[in-house]
Amino acid sequence: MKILTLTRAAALAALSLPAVGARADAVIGSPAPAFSLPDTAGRTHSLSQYAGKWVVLEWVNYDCPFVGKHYNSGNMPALQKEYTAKGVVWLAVNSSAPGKQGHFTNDVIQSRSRSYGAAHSAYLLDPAGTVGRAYGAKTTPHMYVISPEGRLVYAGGIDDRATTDLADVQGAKNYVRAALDEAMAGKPVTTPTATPYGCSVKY
Amino acid sequence: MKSLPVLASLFLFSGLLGGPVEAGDASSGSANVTVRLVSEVLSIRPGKTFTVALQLKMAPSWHTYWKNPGDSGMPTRVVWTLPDGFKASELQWPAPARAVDGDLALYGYEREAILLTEITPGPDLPSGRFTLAAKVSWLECRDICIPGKASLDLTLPAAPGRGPAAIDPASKPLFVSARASMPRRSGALKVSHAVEGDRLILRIAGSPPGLGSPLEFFPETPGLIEAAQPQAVARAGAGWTISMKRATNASPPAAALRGVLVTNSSSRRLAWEVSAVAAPSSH
Repeated sequence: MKILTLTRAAALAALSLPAVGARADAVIGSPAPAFSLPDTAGRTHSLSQYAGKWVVLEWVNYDCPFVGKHYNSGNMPALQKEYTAKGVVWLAVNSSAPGKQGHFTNDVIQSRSRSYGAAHSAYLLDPAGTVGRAYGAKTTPHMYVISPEGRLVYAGGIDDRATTDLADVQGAKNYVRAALDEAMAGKPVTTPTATPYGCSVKY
Repeated sequence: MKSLPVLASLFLFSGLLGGPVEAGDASSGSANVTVRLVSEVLSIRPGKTFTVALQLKMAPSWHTYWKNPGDSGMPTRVVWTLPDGFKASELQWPAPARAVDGDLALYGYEREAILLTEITPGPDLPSGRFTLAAKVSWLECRDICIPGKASLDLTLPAAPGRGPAAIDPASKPLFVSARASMPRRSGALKVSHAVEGDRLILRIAGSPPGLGSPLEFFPETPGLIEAAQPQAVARAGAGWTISMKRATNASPPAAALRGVLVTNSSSRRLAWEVSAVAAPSSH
């Protein structure tokens, strides 16, 4: 009898197959929902292709004042730079529907990203909101950290200062940094979830 | 000096009359929200708590948020600068409303929100005038969100003597309206909470007058329930149960689950403060 061995990627895909349009759940400790989205350069990115890597998902809307706080202060670009240098795949995700705040042409996204000094690995486009809904993304920013085995280890707010003030970046407890540092060192994540804050995702 | 007793008596006279409440910058705002700081009293007395109102008026379609803003947004915040010895209570919030937009919901206010704070002067109050300064920050949203900030202040004279503080008749309607919008406390209300799978269940026993369908629960703590999901309300004998979908990755609720219960009947909107006790699960 031939025994079929699933590759890790296929196993991930099989474990996290939501029905089309259904709302899956992004549960801490469980496999993160699968996705496949184009980026602003037309390349497609799937979670499965990043098996074996740490992945950060960052829900973004450049016109939201909470996102502005983290970009105008340089906080988000600095995190992106620091962790992509450590091999983390950092994916910005835009689930703004056409006509709603945060929905831009690819040219505008690229130009705004450059002016912020953004250092994400790719900026993914989810105008139908399918992936946002699969992850239960509520705010911009809303952050997720996924392990190389495809499990969700952090979901929630970027830090503990739910304001739009740039001055609140310094001194805030950054939950994403903490989760990445702990998880990448093989330690349990002390705070696997925290209240996400920001503008609503513009589905 | 000869002039001193005259000055002192002039001051005493104005104190007896109640004196003007100076509104320095008591009103400010943005394009969509005006904010105003209003005192209920004309003068203050040592150790006697009095109430001030922060009134937010929102342009049509714009809203501000409750202490738990729901899925997004930011609650209105006040940072007080008070004279030595003065204390300010936490903000007292009017009953919120829920606005659902697809998968997401917010808890907050449209048109107007009057937040109350109780201020307690110290036990010793030299005669003079006392300035209460408030740095207010809020988030006003419609389809987009704009952060708002204002610095407001009020100056109140100290009135000599004992007895209750003089109420300002001009601000009375505002405070009547504010208190009517506040959730009330009722000894008749007995609420327990339990987690049953992916549902958070409230069991309400004891029916204070006016409590009835439609009924809605607003938890004080974010991240407990899915705010956009409908709450299943059912009669249970003389009481009610409310079944709510827990939020993904929700922690178990605290032993005392605090929030506001709102009856949104056609004639009146009534609200009660709730502190639900943990009940043993039925499973």
